[in-house]
Amino acid sequence: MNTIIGTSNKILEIDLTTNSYEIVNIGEEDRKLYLGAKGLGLKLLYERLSPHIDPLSPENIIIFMPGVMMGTGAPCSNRFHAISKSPLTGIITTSSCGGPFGFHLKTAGWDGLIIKGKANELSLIEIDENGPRFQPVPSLSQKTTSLVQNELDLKDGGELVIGPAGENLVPIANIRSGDRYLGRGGLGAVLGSKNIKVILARGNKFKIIPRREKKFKALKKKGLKYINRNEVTSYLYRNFGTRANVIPNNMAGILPINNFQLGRDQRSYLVSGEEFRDMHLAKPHTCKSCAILCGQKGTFSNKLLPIPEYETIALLGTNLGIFDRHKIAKFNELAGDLGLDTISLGGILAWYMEAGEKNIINSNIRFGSSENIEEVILDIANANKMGKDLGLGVKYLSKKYGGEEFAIHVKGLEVAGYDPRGSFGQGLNYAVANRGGCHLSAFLVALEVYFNLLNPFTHRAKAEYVRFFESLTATINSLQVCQFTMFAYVLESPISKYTPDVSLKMTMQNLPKLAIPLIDFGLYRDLWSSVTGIDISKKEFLKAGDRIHVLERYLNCREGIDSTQDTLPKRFLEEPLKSTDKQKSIPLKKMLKQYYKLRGYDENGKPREDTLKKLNII
Amino acid sequence: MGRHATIVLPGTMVLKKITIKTIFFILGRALSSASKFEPRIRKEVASWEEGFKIKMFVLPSGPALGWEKQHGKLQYLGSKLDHGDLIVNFKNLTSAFLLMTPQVGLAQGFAEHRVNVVGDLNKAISLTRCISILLPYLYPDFIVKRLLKEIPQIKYNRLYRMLYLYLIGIPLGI
Amino acid sequence: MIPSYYEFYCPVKIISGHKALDNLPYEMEQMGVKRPIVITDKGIVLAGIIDLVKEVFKEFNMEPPIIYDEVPPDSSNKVVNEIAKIFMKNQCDSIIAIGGGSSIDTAKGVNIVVSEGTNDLMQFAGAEMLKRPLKPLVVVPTTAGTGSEVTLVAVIYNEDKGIKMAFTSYYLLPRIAILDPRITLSLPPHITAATGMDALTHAIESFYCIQKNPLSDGYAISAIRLIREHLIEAVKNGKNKQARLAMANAATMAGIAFSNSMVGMVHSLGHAAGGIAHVPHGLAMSIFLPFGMEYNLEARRQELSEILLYLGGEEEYVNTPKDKRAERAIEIVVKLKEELYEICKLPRTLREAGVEEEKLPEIAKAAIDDPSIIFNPKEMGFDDAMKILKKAY
Ligand code: SF4
Ligand SMILES: [Fe+2]
Repeated sequence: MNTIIGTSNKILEIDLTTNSYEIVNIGEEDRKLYLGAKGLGLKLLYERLSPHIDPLSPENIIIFMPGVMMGTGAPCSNRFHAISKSPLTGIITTSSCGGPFGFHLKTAGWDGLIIKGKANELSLIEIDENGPRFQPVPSLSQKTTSLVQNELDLKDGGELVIGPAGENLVPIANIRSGDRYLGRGGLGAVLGSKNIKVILARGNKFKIIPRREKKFKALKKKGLKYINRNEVTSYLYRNFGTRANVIPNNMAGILPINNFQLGRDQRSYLVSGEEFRDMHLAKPHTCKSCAILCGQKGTFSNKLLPIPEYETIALLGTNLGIFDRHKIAKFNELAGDLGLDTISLGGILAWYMEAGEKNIINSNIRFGSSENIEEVILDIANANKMGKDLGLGVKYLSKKYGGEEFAIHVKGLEVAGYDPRGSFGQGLNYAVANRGGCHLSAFLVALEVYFNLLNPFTHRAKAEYVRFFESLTATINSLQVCQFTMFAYVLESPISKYTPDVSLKMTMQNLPKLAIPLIDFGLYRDLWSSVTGIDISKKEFLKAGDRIHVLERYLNCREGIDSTQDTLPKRFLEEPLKSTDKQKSIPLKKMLKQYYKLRGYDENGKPREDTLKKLNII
Repeated sequence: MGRHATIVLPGTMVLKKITIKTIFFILGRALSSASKFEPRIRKEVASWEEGFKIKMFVLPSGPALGWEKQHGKLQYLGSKLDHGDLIVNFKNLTSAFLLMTPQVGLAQGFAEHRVNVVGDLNKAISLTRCISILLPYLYPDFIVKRLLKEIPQIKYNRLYRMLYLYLIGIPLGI
Repeated sequence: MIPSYYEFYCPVKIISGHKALDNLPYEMEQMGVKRPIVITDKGIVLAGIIDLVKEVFKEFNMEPPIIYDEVPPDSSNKVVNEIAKIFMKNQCDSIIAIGGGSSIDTAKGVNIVVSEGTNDLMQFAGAEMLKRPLKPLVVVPTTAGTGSEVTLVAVIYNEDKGIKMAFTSYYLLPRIAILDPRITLSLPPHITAATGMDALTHAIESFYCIQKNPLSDGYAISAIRLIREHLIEAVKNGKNKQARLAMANAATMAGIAFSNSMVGMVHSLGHAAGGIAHVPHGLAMSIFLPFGMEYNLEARRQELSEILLYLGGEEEYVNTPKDKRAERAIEIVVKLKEELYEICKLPRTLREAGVEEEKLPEIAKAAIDDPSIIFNPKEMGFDDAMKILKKAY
């Protein structure tokens, strides 16, 4: 087998309109500034995308980027990114996925794939080391993702597939790869608008070899050691997946119940990761080369199905008042087959239920009942009847029909399963996350709720941490490794590990300026360097994270984003959290002001020119 | 009545009572604190209904120890609880002393009829599991070995959690 | 080894022997009661046992007792309340339970309701919720297995909540247990086998669980020996009065043993399998017993080795090397299961018992929450329970 030392630096750029392609080379300069995966993808998009285009027009561009870690066998490295302009939010969306496509794209010799234009009929793109081949596939029209997967020859191949929802241009459509998804922001509709049903990469042609192999091996070992001794990664997530969050969230009162009207319900125990694991004979079902093993399959009425992720349980379960594991697994399967993002879908259904309850709209679904839900999901995927409006998202619905007080979205993206009223830092995360109501941008819930290192009910120090973790997350997404490694790599590194809890907490809460520089993310930097062979200081590395984050913001500002949209749903700002004794409202203004300052944005929330220059963006 | 009772108690009894009170306090706060950070205890508590009250009581007149599940968390209520959905009665001071000091484990305590349980027995088993999980965070292995059928393997942060319990969880009640 | 502390209690008068039932009216008179209610089921009536009872009452010039003969196989609080009403209406003063576990437990439930003058049986659920003696209860067991005639437990299904609830109190102990082989003659082979295995499980578990004590050991040992000698015969040849009487005695002794030393995980699993997949109790015991012994093997090697003497006989014991005796004891139970399968198709596995595989996790979950687990020598968590269930499937 041929080998690639470090990175191939070759990006395949396809123009569907002309059925042609070219190869773009990535220089070391860009590599160092943008690392790879998400960062580099954003940079490539920035160079190509004109502002204000219609996301579902041929002018939109979608980019798929495995990172430098892909194929090296580093722990949890089998993840790739997609970047495009979202038809749901009208701004940039980026999404991460652990399906098999990324590995095959990379081991076919490609560091990335750019798709432009539009095919004139429903097509499949097959990619190998020599380039792409196009094939019309009218027979696959409107087929579900799993049916298509069954028809494909996936030996030595990894696929991206859209379901009927993507073909029907539903803005919450996702893209499937294996049993994993590029979920958020309607990437499925973007592919659908380009008439692409399937992209099939045929890899295993190149072996990926880190430039500094010995170093890399040592780092890999260290990473594994950290993962295996961290409680979250080696006990909680390994046994219960992201579902391990159900119980602590319920305890903290931040589990969404009935469209975020409540934050706790006794029955949530029934849909906890512990119950899913025990009652459904869970088996690992993970991304390749994963060391944490959060993904699981389980038996549901004699059928082996993926066990839903935490977000799906929260949004398609508890947030609809549904605590039936079988039902949630069923909805999850259906959404996966149709190609719908479960978070947005759940947010929409919850809004629809509440709107019906409040007589704003005629709704045939209601909280606590699974009746008619499957029909509504089908209608959404088929853009049929009311489903057509529903699929356009909560923001659109509340503008059209009213009910903005309970429209739980930020910038048009439905909010994930953590109620920020019990985690103020997470509130700031939602308000400023680039793609909208995304939980992963900084994920402060972890520090505020799970590790009890920050007081969740104060604004103090939150801006600092959001900014830091946004940037760190941006680097991790640009390596790319799974974000869950952060629990282990950051918390198990000697400084946090051996600082007594009390003083750690006191320093973190009160002296963020002292604490943050001590947070050790060196392992990520070292991993990146060992593969690429490029030296980079920790400072530069984190600056790359800043750069990536701010570039995305900059692109969004071009599309009209400013501070007025850095806000939270009315419900979070105005209604107190009923399920806890603490009933303060989120001091968003204060946090935002500090955050803008730290980020180098002006008071309108736009990156200042000097900031952009300092970060070499312009 | 209480004052009178104290006077007639022989000295060792007073001492035993004070010891038991102290250990009830430690156990009470430690379990409440651990139920927030120890996932396996958290899981047990999650399955109990909101408002569920547990009482430990030394017959015939105390000391007592109570917890209640409030806001999804197990709160330590000191000796304030008059009613319990689950009541663990120690038959006498000596029995309570043996279990609390701790010379005898819970299972053996049951086997030796030193305690009786009033209420839902399934919950009693759940509580027993919680305490078994907690013990290694309170005592070193050579003591735990005496108390449990087997020593639970704790891979994570045992020392830190012990320190946390004794330095923060128990003194501050968080 | 003698435990540092233990308690033992069995105030039940046991009347055992051919035609022992004839003593019933005399005993009632001795207790100073006149109007008993008989709680039983249709099967017992069909077997002619109720006629027998009426007869002995007549011979003794006593008024015929009130009869309630509609106890279903899974008694519930509704049934208990119904019978309690009849009891009150007829101003009864005592209870005679004739039947298997269901009738006896129902009778215990009725006794709580009528003695406490309550209409909410469930408020007394749990341990030691009863505060005063109940009405005199006489038990005539017909299945030779459960041991309910000498235990302080009643398990009653709560129809409103859909769960089985346990009641334990010393006051639930019957006053008198009558073991009359005539009563068990008509028991079909597979039930004889299952209930016999229940008795064997009581004896074996009480012999190695953590509350064992010299007194309970004595009962357990005798029970095991009687079962070895008579179970197969009673199953093969139900009309053999000798075997029937021996099995009735074995069951009672095993009952006394386990109500004073408690049972362990075999019962935890059995209760769970019964509650969730409706596996009859005795059958569940038969299925799980060897797995339970195996699970506790290392923790209780000495006791399990000793059991071989009673389970296999002297020759077997002497001929088996010391370090193989415990394993041999387990083998003998497995062999017994096979034999019973040959004779009367008593299922050996959960699959043969018709349990759906999907139910296993639920069974495991219920098993680890079952109170009897606390007395098991070795800790059993969910994953352990699942492993055993899969093996027993
Ligand atoms: S931890 Fe989960 S999401 Fe991350 S790589 Fe492993 S299986 Fe995939
Ligand atoms: Fe039994």
